[in-house]
Amino acid sequence: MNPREFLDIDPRTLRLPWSRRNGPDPLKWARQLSRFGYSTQGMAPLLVYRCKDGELLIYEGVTRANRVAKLLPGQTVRVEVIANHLSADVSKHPTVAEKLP
Amino acid sequence: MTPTRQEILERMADFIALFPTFRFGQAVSNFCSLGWEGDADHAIGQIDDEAYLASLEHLLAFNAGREPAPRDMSHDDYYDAQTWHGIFDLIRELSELHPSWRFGQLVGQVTEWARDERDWGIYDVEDTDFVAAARRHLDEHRHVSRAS
Repeated sequence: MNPREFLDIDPRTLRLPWSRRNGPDPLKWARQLSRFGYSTQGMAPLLVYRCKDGELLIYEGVTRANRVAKLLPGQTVRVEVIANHLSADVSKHPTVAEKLP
Repeated sequence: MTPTRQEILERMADFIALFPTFRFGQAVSNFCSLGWEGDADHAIGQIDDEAYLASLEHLLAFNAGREPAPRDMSHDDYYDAQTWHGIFDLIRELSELHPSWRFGQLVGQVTEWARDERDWGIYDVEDTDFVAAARRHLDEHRHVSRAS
């Protein structure tokens, strides 16, 4: 059994999954913004893959990563690494910072 | 249905127990989306069942022994296991109907049918739209079978 690995990361540096390479779904973005605004209280860790060169690819939590990056610049988010895919080159996947709404 | 297909569904049931915040299509898309730089839905359709199962098992092995996550009220979407098991039943039926389709191909095809409701890809398709599209196809097939 692998011990669970949690990291505190600037969400702007996280890589977006290819299916979300243009950033969050506008509908979900608007919904989360109205429901949670600036609050991160009780927010679950984002799920990420660790890929080549240590890049972290968001597996789940694109909207939350964008919300914190946009509204709370400089604040880190808790992420959980749920798998290592160290041969996967995700350098061409945009980062959250590059696709902020 | 092939043993591999059956095993995929069993492993996906294990997955949803650990990660209850995923849409079905989102999970399918993410299992094998690493490093893609092209049309992700097309790539999913090309992956054979064995490779898909291997990708899923890699993820589950990494998380062996993990406790299911507690419900997090800051997350605005939860997809219950019952919905997923309903999808599994539909996939079993569709696999009997279209035995030559790969798993990813089948999921991609149902997503295409669901696009009647919304113009979304596999990652985005809502479970309710996916279920409606699969049921509609199965109903149409039964109707045609009865008529002929």
